[in-house]
Amino acid sequence: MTDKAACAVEVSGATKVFNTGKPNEVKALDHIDLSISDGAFVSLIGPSGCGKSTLLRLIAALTHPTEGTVCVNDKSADQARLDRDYGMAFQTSALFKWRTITENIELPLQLMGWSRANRKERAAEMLELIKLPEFGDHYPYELSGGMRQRVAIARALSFRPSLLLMDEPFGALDEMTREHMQMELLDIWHKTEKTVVFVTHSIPEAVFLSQRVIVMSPRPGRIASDIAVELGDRVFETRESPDFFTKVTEVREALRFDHEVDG
Amino acid sequence: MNTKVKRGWTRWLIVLAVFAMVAAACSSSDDSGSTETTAAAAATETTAASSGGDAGDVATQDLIPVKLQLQWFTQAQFAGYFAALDQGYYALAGLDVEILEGGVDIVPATVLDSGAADFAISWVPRGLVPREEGLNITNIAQVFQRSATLQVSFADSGITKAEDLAGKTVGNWGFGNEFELLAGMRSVGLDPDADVTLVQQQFDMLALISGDIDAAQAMTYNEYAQVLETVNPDTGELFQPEDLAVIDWNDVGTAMLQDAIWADADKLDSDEEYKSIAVKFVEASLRGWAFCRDEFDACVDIVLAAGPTLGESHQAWQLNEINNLIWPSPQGVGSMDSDLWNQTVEVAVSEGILAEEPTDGAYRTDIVILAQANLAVRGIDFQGMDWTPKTIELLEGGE
Amino acid sequence: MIRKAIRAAGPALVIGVGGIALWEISFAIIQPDGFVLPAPSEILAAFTENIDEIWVATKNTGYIAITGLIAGVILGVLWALLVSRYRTANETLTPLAIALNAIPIIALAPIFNAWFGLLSPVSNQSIVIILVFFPVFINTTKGLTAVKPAELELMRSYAAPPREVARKVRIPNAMPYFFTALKIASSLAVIGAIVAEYFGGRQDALGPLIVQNAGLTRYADAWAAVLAGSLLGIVLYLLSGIFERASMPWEHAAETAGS
Repeated sequence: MTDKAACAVEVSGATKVFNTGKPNEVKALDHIDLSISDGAFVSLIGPSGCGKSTLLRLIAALTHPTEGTVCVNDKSADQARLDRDYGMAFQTSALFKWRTITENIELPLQLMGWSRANRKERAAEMLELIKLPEFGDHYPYELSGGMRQRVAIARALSFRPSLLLMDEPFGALDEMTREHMQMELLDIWHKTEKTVVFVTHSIPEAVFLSQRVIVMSPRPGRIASDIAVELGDRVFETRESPDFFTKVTEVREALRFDHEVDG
Repeated sequence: MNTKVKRGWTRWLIVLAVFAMVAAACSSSDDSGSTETTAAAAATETTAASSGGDAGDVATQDLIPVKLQLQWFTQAQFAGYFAALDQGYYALAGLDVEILEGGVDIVPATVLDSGAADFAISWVPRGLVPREEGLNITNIAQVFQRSATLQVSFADSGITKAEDLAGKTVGNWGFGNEFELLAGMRSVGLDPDADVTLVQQQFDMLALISGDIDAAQAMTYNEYAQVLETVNPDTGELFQPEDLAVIDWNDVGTAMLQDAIWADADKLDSDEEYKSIAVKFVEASLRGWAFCRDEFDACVDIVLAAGPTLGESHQAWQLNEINNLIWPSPQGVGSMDSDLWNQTVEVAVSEGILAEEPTDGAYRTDIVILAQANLAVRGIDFQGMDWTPKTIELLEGGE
Repeated sequence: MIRKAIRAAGPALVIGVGGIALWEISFAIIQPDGFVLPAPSEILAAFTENIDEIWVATKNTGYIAITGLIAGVILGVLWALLVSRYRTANETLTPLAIALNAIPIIALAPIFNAWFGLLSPVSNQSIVIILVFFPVFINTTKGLTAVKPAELELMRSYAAPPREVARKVRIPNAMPYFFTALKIASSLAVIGAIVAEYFGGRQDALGPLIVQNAGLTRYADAWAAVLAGSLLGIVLYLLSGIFERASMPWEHAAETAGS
């Protein structure tokens, strides 16, 4: 293994409070401690209001903790953002409708000042990676939802960041496309060896994709369980295996917070 | 709960606001009624008080309602009609006359033809063009015998004759007021499109005074005086006639006849009552003009009471200049000078204002002859051979 | 492509031609005299008869409308860029824009004539500019600020400076809004130029032509000049549309794709 930072993401005692002092004050996250090692694929799952998206944004330095620290690649999250150490994908593909597919993929490269030739080369590479080489000159409206998400992922990876942050990227897709996209994503992950933090609503998705499922409870957002998933290399049939169902059940049980109160 | 109450409130406020605006818009259009009602009231009051004698006691209910459309805003230009109203001449003739003020967008010929007025005051070309377009109106009394249109410039510009306009910026009002100017320029060989720059002038003299234009269109009785009522920034005194140079189209030979009384031609032929009303109306109107000739100060007061924009000294100047257009009138006021009519028609046709000469019936003399006969019987002087112009002192702003 | 265009224009053509035919026929039957609205054939006849005069007038009015339109658009866009970028600009410039827009033209026209001179084109161009800049300003500001939050977050994740966000996100986002405003402004520019001409200036322009012919009850001639003004407005609108198509290939394609 090459020499990489031991800890890709390190969150210590992070608390996030919105609207401090106002009547609608809410504690989205309460003393979160989370370590994610390099090259891992970790899912964050939980009901609405558990703070999983907020946690992702803390890692992305799109918002800042009220208390505690967030470290990415051995730097502060802000520095990691300025150094462009991560790529991000949202539920809406957020492709610019006025740019062609190629131009969309080139966006971060443009911002980083890459030369035209380098940009073209990298964009072509990425199109191959997501298996859409003929669509370079098309506009986003010409592509289906699944295809657009693939482009969004390509864009997020175009500058080869070590970390990929994804906020329910497949949430708007239908079930079949979703499962297909999950295979694609795993394929890309294997090829590029990135660290992935993946926020999702879907239990099967979390179990299928990750080696580690972080279950979060709401009000205030806390980490309820940290479940390891060992299903080996995923194939389509994995979803039909008994081990898969067991793991899904385990996660589902972990999500039943009212039972915890009963103890 | 709170938001629901608020929303209901705002909806009603909006409805109320719209209502208020509509109401305001409707009521403001009734303002034009003010001049007439006061004049009519004054008429019935002064009938007994002034001129006396044959005022008589004609009951208001017996009067026939008649509407007169003026060509412009209330001012001494129409003094005769206001005097006829004030002195009870119309009432005496059995007519309850309402005088409708004119304005920039009001076309007297259209108002007359549509029946919204029974008679109208209009310049001859501005009556002949609609007539050619199909509005059947006719000139029944040519009140002004001469044209009052001038082209005015500052004396140091050296524009003393039509030829001097070459290469200059020449203001005019358009709307049918510019024909004498255009014909006058052509008569000395100038091409209005190529040799001068024609400028749309507002109905004031600001463009001349500010130097935007070299020569401005002005009426002897109105805009010309407006310059003399303005303070010359160089001297601190009012502008003097010596400061100005004028071109008079009467001298150039392209003058066209102006204020005349027009009536509905079809009605005159088909409606006997309308014809007899026309005679009475013309008679009383001409009598009003005679009054304004003989009782100058009283006439100015009558005009002022009717609510003109400019003040006393300006109206006095104007009445004096108007009298100069009417008197002396050897053939009798209201008669048609056929030479001037022919000149008017010639200019109109050669300028392309009219496609061809007007058909018969563009003017008629029978009505005014009857009116003059009636005046003679009453002993009213309708020739004014002894009339002489006065000297009027203008004050700043025409006060 | 041609067949498609015809099919698209079909209903409009039927209504337009049908309406004019109905107008013409009813006039032939009723034959109103000296009526303010003449039959279409009369208007067309007056148009062709006076074509030289109308052409010169259209050029003069058109010059004012077009130059005023361009200046007003530039002003509106610059104003919008400032307001979307700097909060203090928004607080000062936006109320100013609203106030300027509220002043009635008939109040401004004589003032501009006095300031710039009766014969100077600037006095009329200023009227056009004031009319044009407001819709452009309002719409462009909306376009510059109504950006999808996800897109702004994306740019933040790239640590992109505000300048880049403006160039790469806000301005392209604003383009559809801008072109909507441009189409509105192109008609306003013609109206503004004509109305400004009522208040003095050169007489070989559409405004005086309309108003003076109407004043002499030459209604066919007045309407012929109105027709010229409408055609001018339509041409400007079409040019705006062409400019829009050329600038936003993705929008146009989206319309015809029907996906």
